[in-house]
Amino acid sequence: MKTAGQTGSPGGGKAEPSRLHMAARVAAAVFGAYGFAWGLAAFGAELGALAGMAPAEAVTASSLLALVVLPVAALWAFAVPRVTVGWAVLGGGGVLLIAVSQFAGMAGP
Amino acid sequence: MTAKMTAKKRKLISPALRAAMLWPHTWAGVTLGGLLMLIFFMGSLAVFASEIDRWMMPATRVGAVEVGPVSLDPISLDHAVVPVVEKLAAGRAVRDWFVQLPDERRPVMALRVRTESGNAGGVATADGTLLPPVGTLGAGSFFYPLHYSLLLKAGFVGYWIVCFASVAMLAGLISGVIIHARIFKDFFTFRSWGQLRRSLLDLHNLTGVLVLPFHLMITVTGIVIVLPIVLPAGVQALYGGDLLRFYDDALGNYSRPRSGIAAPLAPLDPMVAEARRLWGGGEAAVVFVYNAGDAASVVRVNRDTGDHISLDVQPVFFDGVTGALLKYQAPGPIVATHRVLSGLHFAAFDHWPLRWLYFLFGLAGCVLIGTGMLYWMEKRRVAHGVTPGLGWRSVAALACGSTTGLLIATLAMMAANRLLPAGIPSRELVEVGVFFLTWICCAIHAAIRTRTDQTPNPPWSGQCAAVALLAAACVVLNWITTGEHPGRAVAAGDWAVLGVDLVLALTAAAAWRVSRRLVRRPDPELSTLVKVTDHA
Repeated sequence: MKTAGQTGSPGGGKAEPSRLHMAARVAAAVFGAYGFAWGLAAFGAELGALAGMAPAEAVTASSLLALVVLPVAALWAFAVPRVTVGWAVLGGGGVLLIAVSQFAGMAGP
Repeated sequence: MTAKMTAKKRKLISPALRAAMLWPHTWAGVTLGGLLMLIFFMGSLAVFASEIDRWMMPATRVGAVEVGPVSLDPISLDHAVVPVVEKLAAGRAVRDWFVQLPDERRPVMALRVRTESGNAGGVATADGTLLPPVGTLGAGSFFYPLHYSLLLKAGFVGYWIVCFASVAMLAGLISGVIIHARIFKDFFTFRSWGQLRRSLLDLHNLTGVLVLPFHLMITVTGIVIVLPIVLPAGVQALYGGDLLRFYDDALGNYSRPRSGIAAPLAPLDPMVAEARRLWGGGEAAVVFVYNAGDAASVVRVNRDTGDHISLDVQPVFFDGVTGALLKYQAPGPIVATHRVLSGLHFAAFDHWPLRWLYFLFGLAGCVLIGTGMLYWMEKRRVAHGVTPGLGWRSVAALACGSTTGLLIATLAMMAANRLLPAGIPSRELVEVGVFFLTWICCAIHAAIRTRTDQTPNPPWSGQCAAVALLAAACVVLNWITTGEHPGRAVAAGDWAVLGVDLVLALTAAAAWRVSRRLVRRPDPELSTLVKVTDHA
């Protein structure tokens, strides 16, 4: 629950947030969180394989971990004060993880 | 220590966080509530799919009623099954086939044959007598696939939609806990008197809190089963996206292409015996023959999972021509964990009290989702005044269509199952047509009645009365068309049919009571609704 601790004052407050703002949050929660989970699963699988786990084991372990993170990440997209931060962490983190796992995949076998 | 923990928790769940969680909780529920209701309801029915199948396929009740327990004595595949396969193939060259062997809950065997020109399927008794076509998809091939794939098989679209809704359910459960921080007080809070809206919120919180561990478990494990399909990141990274190769590797599957050289099939019974020896006990549940009649034929024997939680079917692969063992590989520890998680969802283990708990907790999930939608409607009614907007009406119609409408459609299909003559072409598809047509009609009825009523409210009492009448009709129709009334079911020890009849009768009684009470209930006065305030 580290993510929850970071929330000082979530956006919105009493004032009704704009439709665009909420759409950005929903998109971050749906696509950003899934991208992040994808990155985590891909990165974890590569990491596990490099550490000597059987491929099927590494894939399963990292996917299970990503599944636990997915709903929490989606909710965090609504809890984070600024939606741009949410996009940066989830989208950016996802892209970074996928890039690293691609690199590990090329370096590994 | 505990004081410190609570202090820390208080800090973690700040009022601001709780406020921020309200929006996704509300809108995930309002938009996906109807879909989740379908998934939870059909999942609950799927727990008793075998029993509902006996009810919907009277010809398959024979085993339980006349032969007695069949699973004690393993049937001979070579004598009882192979001739049925040949009969089903009707002279065409068989490519692959499989048989689900009889068990305690399904006293008949189900076969599926793929030939060079089309597929064939059938149900046969344990001694190898082919029964006439069942003429229904039943619970096992309709309610159950509706639960996990919405019957949208192409491109796993159904899996994606169901899993998306499931992640939303998870987010809803977690955000619900955050919004509702005073969890333990609510073990003892249910104010059934007074305001409807407060009762709805209490019931929503009560089911949400009491059944929370089950709902978390069933939702997570539901996604876990198809995780490699809906989150194929790891498969993409380590298997180049080849799902089949991943499954072969993870689950110890084996496959090889046809050779084109004809060769006879070796006796199957010794293979099953060898598989049972490798398992150290247990029963065979499914036997597959791939590349039948070919030199490269493969026989696969799956274990019955009734005696353990894990869904690991421990497949044993044999050479179909020589009968030699080809592959038997235990999964690694993490894949084994995955299988246990999947097994927790399937509840295929033989445990009647747990089956009833799964069924009731699944229905509690429906209550949780339904009360959430009703609470939103009641609260919004206040905000909108006397004439609610289009959004409110849509949600009202959706809530009605996905609760009573779904029940009516299910019961209509079961009634059609007893009413349609056996011989009509594509009988099973007519039944499915009845289900969807009734469902659509219920939704339209709900939408129209919600719009024209003086005080807008979905036609709950009318649809509840329909549920009651249809459920009662199902019991009577089963009696008339099969002659098996509850008294005879008790005498014959046919608990499957008796159980379905009893649940139908209970549904009828409960729905009738609800319908009468709703008719008597005065319409909620807006002035009193406005006065009430509550915390969520």
